[in-house]
Amino acid sequence: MDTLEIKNLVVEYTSDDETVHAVNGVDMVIPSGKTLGLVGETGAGKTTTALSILNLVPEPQGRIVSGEVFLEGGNILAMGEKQLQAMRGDRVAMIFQDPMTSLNPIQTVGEQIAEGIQLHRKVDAKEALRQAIAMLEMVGIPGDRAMEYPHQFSGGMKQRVVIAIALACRPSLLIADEPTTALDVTIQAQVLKLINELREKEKMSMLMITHDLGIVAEVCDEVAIMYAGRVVEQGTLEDIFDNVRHPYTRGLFDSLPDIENRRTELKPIKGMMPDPTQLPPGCPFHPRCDYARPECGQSMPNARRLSNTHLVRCHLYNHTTEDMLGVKADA
Amino acid sequence: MGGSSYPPLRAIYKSTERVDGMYKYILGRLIVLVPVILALTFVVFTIMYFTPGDPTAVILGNEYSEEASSHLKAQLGLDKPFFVQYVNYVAGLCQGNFGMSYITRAPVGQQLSARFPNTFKIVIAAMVFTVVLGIPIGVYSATKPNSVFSNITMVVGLLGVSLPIFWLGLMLILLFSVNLGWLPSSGMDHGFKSIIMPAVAVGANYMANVMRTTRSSMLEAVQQDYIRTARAKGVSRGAVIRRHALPNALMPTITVVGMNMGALLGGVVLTETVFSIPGTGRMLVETIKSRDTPSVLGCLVIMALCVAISNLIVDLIYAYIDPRIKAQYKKEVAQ
Repeated sequence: MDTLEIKNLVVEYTSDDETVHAVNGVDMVIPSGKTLGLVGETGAGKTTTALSILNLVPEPQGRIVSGEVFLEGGNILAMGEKQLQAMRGDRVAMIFQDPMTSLNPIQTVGEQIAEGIQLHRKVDAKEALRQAIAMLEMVGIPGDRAMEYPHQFSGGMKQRVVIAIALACRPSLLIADEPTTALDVTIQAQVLKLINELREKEKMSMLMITHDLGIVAEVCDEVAIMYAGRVVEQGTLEDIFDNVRHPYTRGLFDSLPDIENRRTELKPIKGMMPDPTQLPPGCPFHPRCDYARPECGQSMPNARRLSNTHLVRCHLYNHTTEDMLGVKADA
Repeated sequence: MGGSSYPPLRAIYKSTERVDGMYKYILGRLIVLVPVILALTFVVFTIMYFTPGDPTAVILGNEYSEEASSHLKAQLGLDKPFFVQYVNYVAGLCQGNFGMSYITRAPVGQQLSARFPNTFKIVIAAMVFTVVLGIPIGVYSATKPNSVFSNITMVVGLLGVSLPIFWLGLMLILLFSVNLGWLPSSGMDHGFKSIIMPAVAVGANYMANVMRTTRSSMLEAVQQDYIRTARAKGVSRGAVIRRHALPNALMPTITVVGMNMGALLGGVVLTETVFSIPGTGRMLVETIKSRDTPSVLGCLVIMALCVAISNLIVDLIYAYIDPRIKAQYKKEVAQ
């Protein structure tokens, strides 16, 4: 069974006079034991999608308008508060972006790890703390530091604590929301390696949210590229890295620095992400797209299946199978 | 996961029990009190000394004559130079002797010990009233920031902050003593009943402050990332508020509770006057009028001690709640 299946998820944030269309019909599947990379710019709706999986979209501004989120077959959006609490932290856990602010400053790290264990495993405080200490050691922190407070740890160590909190109850799905963005480059690799090792050891599925294609290449089995609240291209690592189809994905790859030739200028995608309160009509990427056609400004392209694994949402592929982007066609 | 390779829990807990640094910190703070009190007495003594007018004129009244005045001055030690008088006073103070009142000729210490308990009762009652009502209302209105209740509390809070103590005191007397006859309008002869109105009058402002501070710091706390972390762990909404948001949000509230001790003691001067309560607040006003320097100094020393000690208690509560502040204190001691 697939660990996670999201169908046509729509999430909006409303304020007094405007509506932010954060997620506009996302479909996504994570097979058991696999890692899906969710890639996109800031504001593409990645974190909102992730919070929807926990049904923790910030209230009262945020609202899941429609859609279904199935976790191991059960619809999360139909669960009551008690069921949600039993699910959160136990079956789905999340690692947050900024370890500096993700930990409660006035509780010891041991207490914070033990809290979830105590809730879901129904053990007493002592046993929960003992398991919390074991978790700390598992993420590479000496167990005798369990009674220390977050301010006594470095950023990388704090993120290890956050990982320990997330993994404490052995969830079947781990959501990692840009887990290394706030860390030093030297620490990033360590933390990434740790997450990946633990994931493999515990046979968890993972949703890795990132804007770093390097991380995707390293840890993911499949990739979904998100733009303005929609998945515009999805496929296996090979589909996306070797047979890129969507002009936006192409732009992402082009904007990476070239390590062979450091003197070349970066080629950023022209223009800016559209304002999510006023998305352009048709394909939201068309104002920035080099391949835009008249119909791109009129209708939203449907997702088109290019192979068993490869999906793309672009008008270019509705008309012709020949490769408009100048890369090799599918073998 | 076996626990065998991990250190026993007791050993871990022990590391948090090391509070020896805190005792040194408290001692240091108490020692700092000495120069504070000295400076206070010096300033007040100087002001009283150089204020035009002659205390003996007030004491003697109609019986005033040059001869009687100089006789009385010699008796009270007022004929000595300024510094000698001051040093004499401080020397007495060091032995716990607040001197003799010019007016009543009784030891000031005696009067203080008779009157201070009344003031203390009102202050503590006001504080309890403030904390017991202000914090829960603040928390509740923060958890439902757009509700009718929340808006009502904001209006009441604004009223509480803006109403003058003497006016509120008079209105309370009018309602509860004159019209309803439930509570005594003055004095301290009816035990707990006598304390209620003065405490409410002096605490209304204070409570409104505490409520508003609690509300705004709670609103801020529930936005923090660690609240989301806790929710993602599966902690219920109520438990997140109790265990994660509230302890973090209480810091500014504790500041308001502790730091407003001075304002509360200032307010007591008015309350005790309105409700005719024999406390140190009214004693201060009366003795300033009659230029009774030792009594004025006695009242102020007691009040200053109250403020200083309540600030110390606030700092200790900080350290108890927030480990970062505790670490800071210990560092200060070590330096």
